[in-house]
Amino acid sequence: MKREEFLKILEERLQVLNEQEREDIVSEYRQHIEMRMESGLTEEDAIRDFGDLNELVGEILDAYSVNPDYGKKQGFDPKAGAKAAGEAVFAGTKKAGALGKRTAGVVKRWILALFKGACGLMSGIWRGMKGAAAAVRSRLRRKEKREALTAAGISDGCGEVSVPAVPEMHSAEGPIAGNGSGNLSILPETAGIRPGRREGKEESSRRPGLWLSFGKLWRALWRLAAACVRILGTVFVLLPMAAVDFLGVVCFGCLLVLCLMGYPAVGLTVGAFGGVVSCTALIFLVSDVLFAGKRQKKTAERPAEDRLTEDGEEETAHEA
Amino acid sequence: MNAQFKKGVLELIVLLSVTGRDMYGYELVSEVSKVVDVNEGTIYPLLKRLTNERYFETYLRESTEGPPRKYYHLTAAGVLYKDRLKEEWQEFSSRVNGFIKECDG
Repeated sequence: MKREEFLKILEERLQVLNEQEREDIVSEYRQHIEMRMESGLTEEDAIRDFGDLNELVGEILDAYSVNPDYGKKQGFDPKAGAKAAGEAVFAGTKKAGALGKRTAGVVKRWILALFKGACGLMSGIWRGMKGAAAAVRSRLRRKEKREALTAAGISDGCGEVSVPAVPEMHSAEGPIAGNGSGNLSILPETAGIRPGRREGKEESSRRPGLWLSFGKLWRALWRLAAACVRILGTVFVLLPMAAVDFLGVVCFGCLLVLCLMGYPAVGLTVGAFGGVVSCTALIFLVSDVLFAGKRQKKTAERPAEDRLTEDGEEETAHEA
Repeated sequence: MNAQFKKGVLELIVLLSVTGRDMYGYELVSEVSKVVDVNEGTIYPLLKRLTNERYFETYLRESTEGPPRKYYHLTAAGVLYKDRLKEEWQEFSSRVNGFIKECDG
């Protein structure tokens, strides 16, 4: 080994020492080698006399109470270390991703189930009210018709009466029966455009004013509540999480720098990275639940919700 | 020569060498090598350790033959330590010698 190579390796392996000490040591060795060469030895021989370089470095570090294995190439090589750390990180994030997906899936399903339950409940109430209203209406109409007929005095009008009455009753009582076919028979007539359905509603309801305004009120309240939840959710959940995420990124960066400078901080770095990734995933989950809730409702709750007549948006979205 | 023997006694020899006068690294290494044949590489780390433990003081002195040389000087603590090591060695070696005589004789 040549002198300069020897001294260079020595300097590299003593990185953990402070610069003053390192220079001191290296210059002493340099001087020693020079003097040996002056007294007749060859460069190689002088260096060979130092013995095994690893042992030498170990003993020097020992003098400073540094673990003699510190800085050995086998133990810590920045490139290899970084590569291993990167692989560990990727494996870890894959696992974290799978777990996160599953958790997110579970959480989403729970939230959606609760939501569906609430919507189902509301639709049930709505249907009940509609049915009750329709029953009352039909009874009133029958009463009116009978009164009109008896006033007109036509006896075989009963037969005629019954025929038009039946389809009317059928259409009016469809909701009471509450079966899917009954309802769907109304919807295709009024499908697509809100004004159309509003007309259909009006057709089946002879008291447009009261029921319509009730429906509008309910819809408005619901949307207001959803908006409130969204705003609160963003402010109290999303923003702090975003702040924590950013902090995590900063920490990860600092730890990475420390790691590459030679400090043993690989574990912390991997941990910080994992923290950042999971925080980001959580943020996405929460924003999904809060905001894409609308879209979620549409695609996932079609079966529960097409009974509910409040979603003109849903139907227009379908068309789109 | 058994490496452990050499290792064990090296410190004592280094300390003894510097008792008379201050020496610089290379000089010290040659002196010690006269008594015990050790790897030169091991002496410098030892000097470093003894310096860190305050048994040595170092200073630079200009030299006519090149860059300034670092001289090692034994401190008071170093003197005490050297005396202790000398005593321990003498006791130890006499016991070992006695035991050898016993076994052989």
